[in-house]
Amino acid sequence: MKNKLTGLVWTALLALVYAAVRFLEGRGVLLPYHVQILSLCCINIILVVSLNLINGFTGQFSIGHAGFFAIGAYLSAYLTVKLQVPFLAAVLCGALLAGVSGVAVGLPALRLRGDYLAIATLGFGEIIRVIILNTDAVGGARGFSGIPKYTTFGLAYLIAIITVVAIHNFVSSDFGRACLAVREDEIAAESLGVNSTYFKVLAFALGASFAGAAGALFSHYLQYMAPTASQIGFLKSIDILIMLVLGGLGSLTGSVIAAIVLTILPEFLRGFAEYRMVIYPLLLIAVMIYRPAGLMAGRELSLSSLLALGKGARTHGQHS
Amino acid sequence: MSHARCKKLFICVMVILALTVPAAAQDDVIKIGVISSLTGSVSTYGQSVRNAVTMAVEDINAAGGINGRQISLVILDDKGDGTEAAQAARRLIDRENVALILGPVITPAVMAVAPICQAAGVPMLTPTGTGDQITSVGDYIFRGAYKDSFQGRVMAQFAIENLGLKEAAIIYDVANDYSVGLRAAFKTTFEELGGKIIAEESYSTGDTDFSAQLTSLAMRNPQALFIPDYYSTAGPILMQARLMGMDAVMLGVDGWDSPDLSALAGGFEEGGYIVNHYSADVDSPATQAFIARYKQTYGQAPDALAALGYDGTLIVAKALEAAGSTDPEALKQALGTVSGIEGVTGTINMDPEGTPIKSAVILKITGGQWELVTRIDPVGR
Repeated sequence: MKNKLTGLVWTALLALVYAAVRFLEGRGVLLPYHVQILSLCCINIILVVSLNLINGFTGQFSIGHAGFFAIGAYLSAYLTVKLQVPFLAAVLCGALLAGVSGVAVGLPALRLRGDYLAIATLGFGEIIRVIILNTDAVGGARGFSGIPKYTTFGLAYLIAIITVVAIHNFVSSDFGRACLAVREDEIAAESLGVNSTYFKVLAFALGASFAGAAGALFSHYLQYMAPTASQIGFLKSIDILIMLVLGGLGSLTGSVIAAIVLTILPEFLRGFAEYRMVIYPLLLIAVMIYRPAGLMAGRELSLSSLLALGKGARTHGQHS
Repeated sequence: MSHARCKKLFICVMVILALTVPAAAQDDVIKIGVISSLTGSVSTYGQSVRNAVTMAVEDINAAGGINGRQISLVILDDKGDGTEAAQAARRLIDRENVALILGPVITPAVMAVAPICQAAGVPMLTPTGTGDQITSVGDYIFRGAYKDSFQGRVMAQFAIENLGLKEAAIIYDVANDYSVGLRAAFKTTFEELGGKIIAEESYSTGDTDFSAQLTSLAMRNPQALFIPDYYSTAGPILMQARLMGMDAVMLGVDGWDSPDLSALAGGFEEGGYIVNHYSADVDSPATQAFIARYKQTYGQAPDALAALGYDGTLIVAKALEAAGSTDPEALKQALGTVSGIEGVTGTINMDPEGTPIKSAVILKITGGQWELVTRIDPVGR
């Protein structure tokens, strides 16, 4: 009963946000510039939340997320541009191929732990980039241009919601519990009959496929893909990782908040020219000093906690 | 409500306001948006362009502006990154309501901005982007530099007609569109004019040891070696090739133009030829005045990017003057037809496709200095 109610309230809230954006857009308060930033926020939310499943909930330190992102971006662009496949089908194909490569990479790589896994995933990301660089069908080093602009705010928003809900449900299911067990103590989990390889690969593939979907949205948002480090290479992976760590490993709401904040922040700082890239890292350092476990530090922002916060404010902290 | 919460709320409100309030419209000035890479791995390029554009606009405003209206610049950084450049472009178009966008500097950023400008109907001119595909995005997209393919053709033409070479080898970066494009253009023209490419080797961005490729090239003993890459890679290749005993004539491109080339090549760049956008030796008053003023203002000699930034601004100014308004349609027409602009890099005539028709210069490294060898005028497109 209570679950149903929270579900309803969340749905209403999310619908309200969408309606508000549309309304303000129609009134000319929100310019295409703002809507474009909001779309990018949604794409980044998908990336960070899906990486959170791998790094935060399953405890496998991957820094090759941009590789899956690139697979989704390039495959979907190839499908819509060269083969005139409908956009949604292309997004699904991108997600699917990214998921399959997640399994292919995960099976051998997830035998490794910690630093070794990080290096293996980094290597995977670079392999994808180099393959793209040398594939003439997707433009090679010239980049892939002429991609139609199919990504709308509505679609990015919808897929971001689907991602968060799907990963939230996964984490609270038996599968998710098994992943958490693997994160906390792999040997203990194994001794209780949890097939750790299976769950690690499952989480990896699921995270990868959402990253693929994000890639598909991104290539049809920017309309041009360049095989550079900052677009699809390790710098992109690091960007996603920064958002994840800032939001807090293992917190979905933290990931969402950090993705939004770190997407919008550079926009505010754009006026500072050369000093922009000094201020941005300084802010990151400040957050890491004062909140070393990330903004949300593994906790979630839920409706009940929000209500409790409101109540707490009114009764002035009797609950604490 | 507690004090702290009040403060938080206040900050939130300010943030929202800052995002939504559109900049106040001013009718008496012409607003030009500049997107440049002021930070990131190509920041020196972006800073040169920014400096030159600012200087050019000061000059134009001091001379009375354009049809009596002053130009104001809105300069945004893009980190040399496509995603960032796209955001900057939207901001300039939607919030600043600029008449035109000058920039971005490097091709990957240009390619991300071009579809936005084309869809929004805002003319755009990149002063420095040389990638061939840029102007094919649409009729609102222009550039102030020549194409990579033109540069490759010029070098091939020079090698055959002026140096009398018959055979050449190429070593290029497969992971860099600039290098790949130049190699293709050079090869095609060289073979068209009766020359022969006897060997080709490639490497990937970030490689530092080229001995395997160079050994294989040296065995064929080519008359010339074409190295289409930036100074940071061309330098080590030049040194390694010469130390291996290769005596081929070294042919290069505008990417070699850097004060750091000599240090990286260890002096072995001596005798090499490059194609470039401009030469400080050119005796034109426009060029000499620009060099003197740039040195005085910024305390350093202008590089080719600064020269292109200055000329890009001149093209835009001339087009604004010819159009007589900031109407995008008129401005677009004007940008495709302005001609006879006496720029730092030579006389500029725009073609309707969006690329300037202007001559390239061939420079030779003699005694550690770039010396003007000849000017080559464009042959066909």
